Amino acid sequence: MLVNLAEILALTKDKKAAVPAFNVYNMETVMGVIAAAEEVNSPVILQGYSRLFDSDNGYYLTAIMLAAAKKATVPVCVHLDHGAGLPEVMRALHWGCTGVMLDRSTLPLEENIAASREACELCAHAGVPMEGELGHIGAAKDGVSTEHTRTDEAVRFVKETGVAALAVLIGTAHGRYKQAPVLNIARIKEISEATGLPLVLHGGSGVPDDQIQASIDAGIKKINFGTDLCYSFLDEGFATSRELVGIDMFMRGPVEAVKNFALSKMKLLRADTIL
Amino acid sequence: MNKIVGIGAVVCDTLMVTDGFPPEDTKMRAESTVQSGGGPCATGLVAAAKLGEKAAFLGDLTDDAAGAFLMADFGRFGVDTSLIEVKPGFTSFTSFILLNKKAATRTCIFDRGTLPGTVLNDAQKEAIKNAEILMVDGNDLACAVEAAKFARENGVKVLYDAGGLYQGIEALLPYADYLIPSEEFSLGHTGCATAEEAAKELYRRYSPEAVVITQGKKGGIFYDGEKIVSYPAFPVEAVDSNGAGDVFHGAFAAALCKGYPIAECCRFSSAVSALKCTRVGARDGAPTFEQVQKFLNERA
Repeated sequence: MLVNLAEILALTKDKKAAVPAFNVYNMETVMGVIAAAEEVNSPVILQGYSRLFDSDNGYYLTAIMLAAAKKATVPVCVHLDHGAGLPEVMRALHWGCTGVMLDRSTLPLEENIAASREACELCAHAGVPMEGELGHIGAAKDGVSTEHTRTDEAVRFVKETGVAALAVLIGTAHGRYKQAPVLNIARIKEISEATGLPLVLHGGSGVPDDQIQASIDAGIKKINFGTDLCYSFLDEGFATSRELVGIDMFMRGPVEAVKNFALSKMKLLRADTIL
Repeated sequence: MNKIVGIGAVVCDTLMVTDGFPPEDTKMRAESTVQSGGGPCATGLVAAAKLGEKAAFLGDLTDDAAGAFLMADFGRFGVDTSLIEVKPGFTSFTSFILLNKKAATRTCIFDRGTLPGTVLNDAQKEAIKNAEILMVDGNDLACAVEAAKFARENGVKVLYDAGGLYQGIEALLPYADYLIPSEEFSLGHTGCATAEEAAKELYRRYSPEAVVITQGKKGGIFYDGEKIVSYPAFPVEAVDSNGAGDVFHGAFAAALCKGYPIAECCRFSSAVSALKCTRVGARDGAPTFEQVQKFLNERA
């Protein structure tokens, strides 16, 4: 069943669990994630990276995500991940996404607030809740930033933009870590209590399990998995025999690998206890 | 299969021509009276049908006299009425227009009637899916928003004739592929000082394929993210400008169906508006495709 970002995150209220958000790229990754969600009765967010919304890829991918969401027996949100600007956000609305993220976190605070507020208002009219980002979550290869999102700035950002969820920088990065990251659990708790909003953890791939669970206990309600889902798909694809010419046959293994990856994260996030 | 489908207001206009304006609490004889169908999108559909495109209205009418007239009027001009639902017991959207010949003014009193908003049925949704263009005008708003979302998800282009700054239209604006406001709307909605700035601002906010701003006798401009281009208004001897904007939008939809690029859509639609102004009646005055071709060839 297709739901929006606010609705799916509201399911976690008063629960020590978070909703997993998986970056998908094609029909097969969507199928793997949905199969896992249905197997353990977990709500799930399917999201597409901003770059895909700069080409026809996003049009086709959104249609696939929507078809999967409408058919699914569990709540599914179809979301734009790291929208680079208004054009990507608008295309996400046009193509039917039920959640969007605008990421202007590289801008100074004032400009980030202004851009996020504008996008948030436009999306609100269309009934689509928005995720914002405060504190730029960079790439793991550049090293993990030690400058974490400030609580006072988070309170101001939330109040002035109207976002439904907030991605915070508290020790994670995108991609594969060279060293296991250390999350600032105290800061998560502080921002969560001060804003009362569901918080989002980006760069979930490679964060030790105990830290993931501690972050959920502190107020993280959505955790993104991008990199490791790609690896689960690609590794299995490269290991698959080239004798399999029918592409659906070739894809069976990779779909199963994505499903198993998603299952492990759903259990880690206790997402299978939400419904 | 209808290439163009539309959702919006359908109004039964009663036009009375008088030689002056009556003082309050007196009686006055009219010189002539005409009943005609109106509504931006509804008249746009008529224009598209007269230009040879298959067009259908999606929405409800009532079973009162005005409703029966509106249904027949669509039929008279070749607009498909098979997807209209007749809801008995309600009153139609009607207006009374006093045309004061002496002062060249028009005074309008309208009554939105009692019809509740349209709830799209399966056949109407199917018609949207199979169409090329969905036309909306900001009326029957909740239905228009739902239809526009549905159209975009199915790859059907949405043409929004933005005239009235109605409450809640912000929900419809993001779904327009072709956003075609009047100059007044564009300035009022954006707060910009010029149509050029407003076109760029509307494009920046909503990312449509193109913003076209109509400026009446001045012609208009369009912006597709690259540059502002103006299109002409053809000088004609106007006898009735009522409905000129409505037919522009219908013609634009028809031109899109014919595969014209944006600049050509603007020129074609401008010619349709000009021709309409040379004839009486918003719908009766709308030209055929051959008439427009002849008009444009003479001015090539």
